[in-house]
Amino acid sequence: MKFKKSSLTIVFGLTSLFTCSLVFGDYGTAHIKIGSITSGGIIEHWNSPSVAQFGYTQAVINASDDWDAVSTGVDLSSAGGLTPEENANLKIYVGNNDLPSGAWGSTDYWKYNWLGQATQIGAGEVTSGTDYEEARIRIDHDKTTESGFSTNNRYKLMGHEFGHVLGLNHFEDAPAHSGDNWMKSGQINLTDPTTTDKDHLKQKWGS
Amino acid sequence: MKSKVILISVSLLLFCLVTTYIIADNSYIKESHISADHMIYNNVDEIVKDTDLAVKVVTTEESKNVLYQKDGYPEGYTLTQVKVLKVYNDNINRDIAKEINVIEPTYLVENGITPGQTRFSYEEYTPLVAGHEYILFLKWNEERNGYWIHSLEQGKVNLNGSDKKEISKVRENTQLKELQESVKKKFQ
Repeated sequence: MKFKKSSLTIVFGLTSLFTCSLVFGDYGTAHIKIGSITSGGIIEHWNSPSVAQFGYTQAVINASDDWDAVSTGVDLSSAGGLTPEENANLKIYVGNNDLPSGAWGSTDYWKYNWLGQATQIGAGEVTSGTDYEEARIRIDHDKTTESGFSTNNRYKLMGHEFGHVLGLNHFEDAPAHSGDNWMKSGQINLTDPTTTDKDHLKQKWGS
Repeated sequence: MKSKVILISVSLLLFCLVTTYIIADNSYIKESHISADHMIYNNVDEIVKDTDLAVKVVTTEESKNVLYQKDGYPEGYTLTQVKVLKVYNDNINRDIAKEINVIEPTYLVENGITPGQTRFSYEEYTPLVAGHEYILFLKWNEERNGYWIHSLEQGKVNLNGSDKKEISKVRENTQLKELQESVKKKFQ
């Protein structure tokens, strides 16, 4: 009888643990990078003139404000891209046909060597723990137009790229999260980060 | 005598170090990837609809790493010549030559003083391997006078199981696996 009770307790405990892990998702390197921007969560972003020219200013403001509100560990309040270019550690560009076919946006990571030259670091290296000094977001306006992007799609795209800058990976990577999230790849109608997006950001930067 | 020995030893050591550096610089390639939000396809019909060409090709040795600067940052792609074996779908109505240039979303950069090079590929894309057969989904690019492999890893399907890097990526990616199975079912 005593043995039966303890067995049941163990089974119940293990089941709860497993269920909890499913509910709260994967907080490992599949979804969260170990490496970070060297300024901590302080991101001073600069919009190249192309951002306003192609009509992405509101998408930038939306992404910046939404992520900033999630965690006190991040500070994205750099006056909507008015930081001088030389002081910025996030630079945002919009162009036409700058990215490969089918790619709407990209994020890359950079360090500066002793000569002051920008050296690119791969996303995988950042995931494994390499920190970086600067990030760059590129949006391909021609590709988003070709895909018939709505305002909501643009908001999701910019939020997605900002998420990469803040250290998040794709949520369709195994173990995948179900449903649409900012950090899922694809043309998605989502103006704000989901609870899953926010939970991951808090996991990295605190509440 | 003693100083001669020291001199010879130091020279030998320097020679070994330089030789090691040169060998490493010419042979070591680090693989890295670039994050990109891109189109994801559920099946072959979706990707066929979105592309100009669906072709079966065999890759040649003719491949060129193209680097340039954009907004002060180094950028690149790879231009590879392929022989067209079969055209499965043509949405573009261009004359399709027997050999065409395809643009791959991958490029090599020197590591500066650190030996070797780094290969940057967008997302899960792995470079074409010379002499192997693929089904490619392509989009014409006037500026580069070639066809982009569409949507990174989505537009490239190795046919004879010889592209080990691609196989490894497909094994880890359920969506890519299902897309490739759909492609092979329709076109083979």
